[in-house]
Amino acid sequence: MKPHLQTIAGLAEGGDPGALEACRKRIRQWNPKIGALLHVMDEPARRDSGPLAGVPVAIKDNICVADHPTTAGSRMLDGFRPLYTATAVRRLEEAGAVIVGKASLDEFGMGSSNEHSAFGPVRNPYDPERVPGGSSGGSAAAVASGMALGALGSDTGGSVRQPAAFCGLVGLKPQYGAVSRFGLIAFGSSLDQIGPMARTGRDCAALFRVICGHDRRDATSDPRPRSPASFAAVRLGVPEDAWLEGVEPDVAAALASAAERFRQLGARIETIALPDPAQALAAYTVLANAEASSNLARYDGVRYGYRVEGAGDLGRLYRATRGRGFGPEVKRRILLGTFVLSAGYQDAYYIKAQKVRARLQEAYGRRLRRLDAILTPTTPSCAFRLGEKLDDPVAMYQCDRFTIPANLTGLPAVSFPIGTSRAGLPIGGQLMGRARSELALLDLVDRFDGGVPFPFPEGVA
Amino acid sequence: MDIASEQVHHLCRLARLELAPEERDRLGADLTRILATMRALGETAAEGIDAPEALGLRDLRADDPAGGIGAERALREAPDHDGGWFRVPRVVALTLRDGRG
Repeated sequence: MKPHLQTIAGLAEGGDPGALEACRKRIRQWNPKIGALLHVMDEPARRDSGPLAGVPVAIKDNICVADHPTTAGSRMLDGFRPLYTATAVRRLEEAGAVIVGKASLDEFGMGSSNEHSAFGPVRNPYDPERVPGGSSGGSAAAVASGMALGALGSDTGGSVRQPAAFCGLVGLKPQYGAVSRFGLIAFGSSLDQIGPMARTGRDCAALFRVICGHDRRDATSDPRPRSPASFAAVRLGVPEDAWLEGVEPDVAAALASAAERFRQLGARIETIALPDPAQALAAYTVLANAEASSNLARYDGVRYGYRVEGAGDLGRLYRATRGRGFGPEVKRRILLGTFVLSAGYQDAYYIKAQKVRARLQEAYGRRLRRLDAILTPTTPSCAFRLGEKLDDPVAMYQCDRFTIPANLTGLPAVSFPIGTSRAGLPIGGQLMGRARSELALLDLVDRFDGGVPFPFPEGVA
Repeated sequence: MDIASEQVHHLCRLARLELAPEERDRLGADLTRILATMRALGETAAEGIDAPEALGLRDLRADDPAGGIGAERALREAPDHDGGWFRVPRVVALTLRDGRG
């Protein structure tokens, strides 16, 4: 494949108008097999100017594009067409990017495998018997199979980084507040953040520069500038062995060689103690689902979306609509969130989790005063098989234990390819950095991969 | 802790969720398993921590109203509407025995 059809940076240099048609050809070829896109734009509007002129991108289907289907992977929003466009999408469009389609996801962003979608699972382009990760699994699979050169995902507990790791991509969870959440369908509002996914650190930075920035329509949008653009003398922390318990040997080996590569590039590496990931996971499970149970109260069958007809009275309409409109994982989380907020249990769960969160923020903040970033695996394993964890929510939640701290603390973190397993699957490493250091983290990834992407899966041409 | 069936029933009422009995049993068992992992929260010596302050959630922009979408557009996606209003089934079950409702 021609280099200018492989990356955003390549396209910027090559300036070839054939990129869009190449992506649309791969959509026709690959989408029926892997189900990455839920909606394909018939005739994508294109612009010839701007920093992303002609760059084909996919948008996770929980991010609103006015007048186009936006389902959030839920039967509850089947047929729904938003009245407005998300700020992040509007900025991409103004920069010249071309939206090729809306990408599949776990329903409302709740899942780590993309199997919890009302419209069927997505398959990993590197092995169709395996999951692409989630919840931004469609975005990841679309970019990994060349249907788009970049994508937007959203990340509440790892939903950009984990699928990026499973699909050989670079995926950024920006600092909380860096990218406007206006037009992002809410899951856990104090944790949600829209993030870019692409094939190199350089490409991810090109997307991030466009979508970040203050927006009055998001009350939590951060007006402060991003800095620094790169680190001078890099100091990286690597967790001690105990923290990595349960990590697959291939992943552990890739992490060790990634640390060695950073050392060769001139970084100083320190082994550090980090807070217990099980505690962070527990706090996240309480807080994310408490917020979800509150955010999802809006789906009532009255103002938009799905409604059960013939319910009799209004109370029954709410209950029946929600009972049938939501899938099993969403119902599980609504009940869990309702429980931790209910009378008699709030102090033991919700309030305690808030305190754990504040302590984690203090603990990570303290370590990152001395260090530029913390290097960990993104996930304990490579992409797992379809169905492997579907009936075991506790095992599924464990997938996110290394990515959750960045959401709880609000700090930026990026996943990037650090190797390949013996089975030929991509392995992701994570760099978690100081507040507002996204561009420096992506620069570090760029130095690591030299702007060379993880190879496309077999058959992508 | 163990989530009993009547407790799931109570949570469903709070969350306005209608579940089939077998779904209720299954989700109740899931909740019990998930809550067992919450032991990891531990006893946190975090007295005096102001969580919203630590998380920067006090520093939000003023909540100034600015323009709306208007009734016509707001109704566009409604499952049912009539004369500029969302239309829903009756709220109160009427009894017409004495003719006064």
